[in-house]
Amino acid sequence: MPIADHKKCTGCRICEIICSVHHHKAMNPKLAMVKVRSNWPWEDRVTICRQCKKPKCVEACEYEAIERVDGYLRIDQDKCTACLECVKACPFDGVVVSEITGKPVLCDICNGEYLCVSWCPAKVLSEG
Amino acid sequence: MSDKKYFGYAGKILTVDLSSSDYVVQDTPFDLMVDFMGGKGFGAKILYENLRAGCDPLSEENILIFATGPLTGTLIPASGRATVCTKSPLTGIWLDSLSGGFFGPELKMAGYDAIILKGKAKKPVILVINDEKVTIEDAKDLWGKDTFEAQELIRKKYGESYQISLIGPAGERKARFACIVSGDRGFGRGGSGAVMGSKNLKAVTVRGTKSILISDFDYFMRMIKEAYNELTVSPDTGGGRPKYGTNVIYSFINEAGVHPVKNFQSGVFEGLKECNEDVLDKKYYKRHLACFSCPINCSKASRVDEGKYKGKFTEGPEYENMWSLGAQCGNSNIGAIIYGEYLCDKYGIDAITAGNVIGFTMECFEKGILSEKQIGFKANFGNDDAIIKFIEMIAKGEGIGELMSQGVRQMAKELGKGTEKFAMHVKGLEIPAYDPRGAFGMGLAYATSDRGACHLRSWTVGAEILSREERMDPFATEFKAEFVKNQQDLFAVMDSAVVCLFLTFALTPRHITQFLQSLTGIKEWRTTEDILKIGERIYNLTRLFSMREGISRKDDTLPERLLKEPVNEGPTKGVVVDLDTMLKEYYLVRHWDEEGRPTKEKLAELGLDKYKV
Amino acid sequence: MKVKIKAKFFGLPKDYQGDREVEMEVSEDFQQALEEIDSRTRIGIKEKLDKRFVILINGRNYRRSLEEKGKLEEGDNLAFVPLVGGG
Repeated sequence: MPIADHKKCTGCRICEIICSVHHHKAMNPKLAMVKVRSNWPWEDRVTICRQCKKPKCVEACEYEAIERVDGYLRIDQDKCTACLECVKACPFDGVVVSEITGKPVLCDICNGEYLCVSWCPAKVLSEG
Repeated sequence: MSDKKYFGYAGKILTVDLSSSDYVVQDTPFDLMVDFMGGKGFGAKILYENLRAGCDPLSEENILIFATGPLTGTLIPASGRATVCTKSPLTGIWLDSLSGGFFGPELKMAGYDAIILKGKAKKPVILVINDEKVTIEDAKDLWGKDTFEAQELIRKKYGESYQISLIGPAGERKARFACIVSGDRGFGRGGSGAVMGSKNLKAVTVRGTKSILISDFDYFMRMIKEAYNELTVSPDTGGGRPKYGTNVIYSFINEAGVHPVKNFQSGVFEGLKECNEDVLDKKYYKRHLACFSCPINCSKASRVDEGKYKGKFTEGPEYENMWSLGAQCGNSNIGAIIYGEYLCDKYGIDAITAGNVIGFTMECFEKGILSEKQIGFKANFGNDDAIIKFIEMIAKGEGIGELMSQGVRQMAKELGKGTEKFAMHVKGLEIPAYDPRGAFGMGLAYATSDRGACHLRSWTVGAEILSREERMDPFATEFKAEFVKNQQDLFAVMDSAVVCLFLTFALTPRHITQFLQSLTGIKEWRTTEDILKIGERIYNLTRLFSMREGISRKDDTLPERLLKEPVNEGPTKGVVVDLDTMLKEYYLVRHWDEEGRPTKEKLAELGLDKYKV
Repeated sequence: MKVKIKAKFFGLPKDYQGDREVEMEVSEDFQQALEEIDSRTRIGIKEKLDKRFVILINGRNYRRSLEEKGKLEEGDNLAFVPLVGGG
């Protein structure tokens, strides 16, 4: 389950780009399920779902929109009302809010391929 | 307007008339893409056809173009880049200026390959682009703010996902070498910030949510993986550059006598022990930063932890500024360099030109051409307080800072007394951090660069000093013409694609061609030769542009100091540049006549013959 | 014949632990000198010369310099420089 060492992050956003390429065969970081936030100049922080064994987000969601499917956590975009309680509940700041829909999305671990992990040039992400 | 699908490109060009607050969105013409690619190429074609020769660059007649290219904003490494093209208020000729960062990708995701800015707003404005939504809004709360403050205000008002290109107080007052700051990077050289200021345009901010499409997905991914391999195994992009940034070259340039000292009076820098890339790495670099989609992460954030400049920080310092605020001014205090670079970013001025001008001023002071009274303080080489004071004065136009802010050519013109012999510029753009007396190829590069003295149209230093290529002896004239011409054409492609030049340290023109083919699917781009021909076309067109503004052979030259005055110590002792020999050969290789004009045949070959010379 | 030279190491491999500048006495024969420097610093000159780094003798590419003077001289500066900037 991907964890991020923020100190190493260079802010390149290759994780976001490869996420959108893998899932959509097109380049659009705003479609990514991983997100980098800039605190220039000293830090870039990576937001990515840790796929917790006891997910606080699931507890927090009163619409039961978050479920574990095929081994990874997923947000049902139809059930989701964008209340963003899951975002607040996550202790790891791991819930990405889609720039485009305004709804939260969770990393789907690329069928176990963890592409952002292997593509990150600074080795920020690891499978954990 | 069509719903046509574009691969790589966004597909639209936004033209804004700031005088009328009107704008129009048009499809990016296919011919423009095929023949001029994007970025610098778009700028060259659009400006040549739409700008009146002889117009005042600071009048509302001038046109400012932000443009990206097909490769920008993609998974292709080092594709976070954009160009600005305009007529320069510093040189009066062609200007294209580039910036790394995130602005270019965001512009493309908003749906635009280029923004063409015309006219002049009646009051300070900010152009806000949010996908299709384009508005010109009042910027009175931003005008007067420095670039750091203004960016924070803009992000607070519009949102964190907006990317910003803007000017600081220097651009607002139209200082001739004011730059456009873009996020944490900038379009540094040539005064594009003054042009923006003359249009009352404080900032362009953009947010985009569209996807960039890929034509041949499998081919594209294969090429990218190949490129990543090459970038990783290169001792440059996979070794020294990620670690030291642009300062990876600092020590060896000094070792070869090519780092200019005290306004090119010497090739030996006494401050080397305390001022070099290892000291930077150990004491000042705090983290690595990257532009969009870049694995090289050459950028650094530095901070001073002790001493006089404790607490000062910058994103940098870049090699060029380590020179311009360092050896050029006889200064080895890295803290001063860091603070100086920060101030240049804060006020929005070109740090390379600033340092060059300051060093010139220091020489004038030491020679008694400028007095302490005229300056306001003692300005000997090595005086770091003076460097900081000068930057403030240049940015604000205070005291002698007003004259300094007009550039070294104008300064020498007004001071007279033989100062033009050591006013280190070509065509009005100040010479950067390489002494051609230690690398002749750079002499030719500076003399024939299309925007004035620049190291980014051709960079011969690696080949001349390091390469086992026997032919490129730094003190010889042979083979330089062909090398410089080929690099200028290739770099014109890179600046039109738009991707970072540092890719060329690991990749070949073949790689770039395959990126273009796999991403865009444009069938007309069949071979590497086709792609390099576009570069050659663009380089000839910018030449036509500048010739129309009055450039001729007499301007393809170097300051007298480099042609007649050798240094008297170090590895370049006794040497002056033999420019004539290289220039003659350059014109032949370019198929330009003896006056440096592209021949009719060459123009016809490139499809430029409809432009009268 | 031995000569006193200054070896400078710019941007070298991460495993090099030594100083940026080291004064050494080495053979005036260049190849021999390289072996002596390598045994002291272990930077792997044979495998890496012209692939990862290049050598400047008094600021001049070592091949050109040796063409001109044939062997090392007292007081020479040997700079080991990473191969940046491509070809």
